[in-house]
Amino acid sequence: MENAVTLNNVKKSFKDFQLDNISFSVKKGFITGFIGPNGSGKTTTIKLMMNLISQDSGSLTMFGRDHAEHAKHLKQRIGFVYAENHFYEHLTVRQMKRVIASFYREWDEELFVKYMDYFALPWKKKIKHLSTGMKMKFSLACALSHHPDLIIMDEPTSGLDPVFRRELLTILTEVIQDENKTIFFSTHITSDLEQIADYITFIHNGKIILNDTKEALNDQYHIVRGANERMDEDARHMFIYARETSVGFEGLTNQPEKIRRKMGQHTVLEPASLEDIMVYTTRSERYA
Amino acid sequence: MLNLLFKEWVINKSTVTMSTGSMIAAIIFTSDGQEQAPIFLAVLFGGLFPFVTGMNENTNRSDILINSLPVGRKEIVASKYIFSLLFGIFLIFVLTVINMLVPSFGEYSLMTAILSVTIIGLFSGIYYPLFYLLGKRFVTYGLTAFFIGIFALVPIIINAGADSEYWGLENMYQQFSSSLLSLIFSGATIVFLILSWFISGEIYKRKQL
Repeated sequence: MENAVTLNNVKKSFKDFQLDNISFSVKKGFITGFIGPNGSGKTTTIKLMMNLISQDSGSLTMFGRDHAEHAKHLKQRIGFVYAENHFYEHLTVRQMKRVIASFYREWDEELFVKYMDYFALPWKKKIKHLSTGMKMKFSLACALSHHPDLIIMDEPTSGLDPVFRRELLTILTEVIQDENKTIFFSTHITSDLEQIADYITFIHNGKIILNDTKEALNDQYHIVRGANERMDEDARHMFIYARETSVGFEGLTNQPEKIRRKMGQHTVLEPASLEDIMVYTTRSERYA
Repeated sequence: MLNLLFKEWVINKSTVTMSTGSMIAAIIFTSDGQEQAPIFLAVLFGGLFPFVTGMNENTNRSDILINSLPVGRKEIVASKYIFSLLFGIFLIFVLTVINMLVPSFGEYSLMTAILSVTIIGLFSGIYYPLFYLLGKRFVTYGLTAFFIGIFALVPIIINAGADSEYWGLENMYQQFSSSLLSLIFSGATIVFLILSWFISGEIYKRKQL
């Protein structure tokens, strides 16, 4: 399967944080959710992909080409949405669109107008007078209107109301119907990804903890609940993290079959949600 | 490059309009007894332009937006220099038109116009490498201190120079024609601007946004 983006042993150090030799790929034609708690390295990774910062070592390729060497060409194929507003606040929506549109060879004015109408965005309003949701809608309209092959989004749903979050997910689902499109979507609101993601990449403390299909994670990762007497030292090693209280234990495992065999029918196993995986893994000393 | 210059125009339209308006107002208030529209006003407003536009660029970290678009960093830097120079040329053009419209005003010589653009270019050549190296705030404070220092030092230097016949510079100046000196100065500024653009480009290329 072809990769849209491949990171290989990418390292980037700052004074108080580092991306630690991360390697993963974003599969072409699919939605990859990039999850991790705040400060785990999601934005740094996206900045690397966008060539806003450069890696200390390792390689980063997009559509098989070095992302820094061919940055200008590759960015024609990328649509981006950032969590924060980086538009010029004193410009109107129309003026800002004209600036952005002038950079893209494939800019589709008709499509942009369609999104403007769909999102009910005001052409004449200054960017500074738009609500957070409107700025995000405008950003999304710009990102999609030049027919990008790869859409990179950094926390696009943070600060948005549930209605627009749902709308956004619907739009992304429509976009991905074109098998040549790829979406890379960072968020800490994992419920968004439960609905639309094909692949999940989980980053924590600057390390990639997992990178797999959502189905594989559903099969592999389970929440286990049971009575305390079922838990012993051997069993504890089968958990990524387990919380033991006076009424019983609850934990996350990626060895459900072993747990089932060892603990038998007196425990409850259910597939873990992405949030469970993120929360329990973050708590685990294994990934501290 | 055209898209970057278009972007500079769109984001700086109000600054361009206000600077030009202020310059025209200043000419109206200072026109009595003048033979020409004072060209130093074009140099002043043209020289101040990069400082003012830096503020627009830093709002919301818009450099992140521009660098996410399909454009190279050296081109971004080049557009800053070119737009500043174009604005300087535009201001001198406005003054030339005013000279033509006001019957009591005479025209500038070509050398005066070239020298004025050269000085505006000199401002940009100093400003942009410092801007990319140190950031807008530090440069604003630093250059404010620099200008205050200049105003304090220049009279002292002029007085000292007058006492010692400008250390032989006056004689040297008289040996050359003013046109030749202007051309030498302009040529040196072009070399300085190219060097400055190269340094700014290298600094900005390495910048972690």
